[in-house]
Amino acid sequence: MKLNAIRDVAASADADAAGRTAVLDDIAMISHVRVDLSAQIGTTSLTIEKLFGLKAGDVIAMNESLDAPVTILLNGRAVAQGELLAIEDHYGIRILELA
Amino acid sequence: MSVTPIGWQSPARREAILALLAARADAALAQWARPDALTSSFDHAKPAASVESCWMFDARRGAIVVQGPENGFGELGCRLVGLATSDGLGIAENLGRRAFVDVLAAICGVGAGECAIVRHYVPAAEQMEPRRGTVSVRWQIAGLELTLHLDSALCEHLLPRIRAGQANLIARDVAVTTTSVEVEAIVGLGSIDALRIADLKPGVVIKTDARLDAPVFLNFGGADRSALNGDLIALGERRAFRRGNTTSHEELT
Repeated sequence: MKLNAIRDVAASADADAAGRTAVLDDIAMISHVRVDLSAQIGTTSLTIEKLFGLKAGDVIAMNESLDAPVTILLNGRAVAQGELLAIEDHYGIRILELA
Repeated sequence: MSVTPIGWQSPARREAILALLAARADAALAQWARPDALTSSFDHAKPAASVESCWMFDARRGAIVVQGPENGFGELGCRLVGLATSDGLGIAENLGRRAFVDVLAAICGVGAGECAIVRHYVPAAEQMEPRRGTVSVRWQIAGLELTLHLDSALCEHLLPRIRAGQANLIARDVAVTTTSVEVEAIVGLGSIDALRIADLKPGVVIKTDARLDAPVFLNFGGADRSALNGDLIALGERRAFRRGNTTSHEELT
């Protein structure tokens, strides 16, 4: 691959979905690239006064319930819903839904 | 650079100013002649078809553009002393001018010595525009008809506005600090090979690089503004963020 092929596919708006598939099919080309992975585990709304007035040990409840899925982010962009796991002493994620 | 606010005087304010002018003029004229000898009345002015002469009365706290007949002061002086025609020596005119300044000063609520009058004044069009806050009134005094254009500053001096909004003002820092922002709690899970992205599908489990004691960041204002760090805990039925020890100043990116 076909980098040109990727460009050709990406250039076509009509073939946008096909372009994404082609990129994933040929992703071996970029296998050395590492992508930041993170999880959004909750959201809430705070006043600026409260946000910057938080002291060590203060607790802010999130909107999400304990069993709500988390949002998986690749390079800061949401791509999936998942479940947060403990695998030994590391975080793990189980994919529940993909875009 | 002349800066004037754009704003009309309301009908209620125009009526109030008219009444105030009438009352003050009557009181001032009483110093110059018997009430029955010198009648005075005010009403709202219509645009003058033609103007013989124009003066500008500077009352320090505002100004009045006066339009009227060329020999207006002389006519007023004649009426004050009961002459049918001007004396030709300027005595009636001087008397009329003095009375005129005295009454206008009283109307404006300032001393006559503080005022100045400019004869043969050529006003700018905007000085008579209602949208500049000017109030135009017709003043009939002893048969003499004058049009007065009171500028917005003088109107404010005569009838200060009650600014209802002032009581509700809040300090700027309060406005900022009470603003709500959306925050999101993010846990960094390290990085993943791009190759593994293709393998992601429902049910797949990934062990990440992040240890369970990895900090949780509280981000706000969009993308990557980390405000605070802490850890994830359970609070009743909900997830919660517990503030860590690091100061927010160190964490801001």
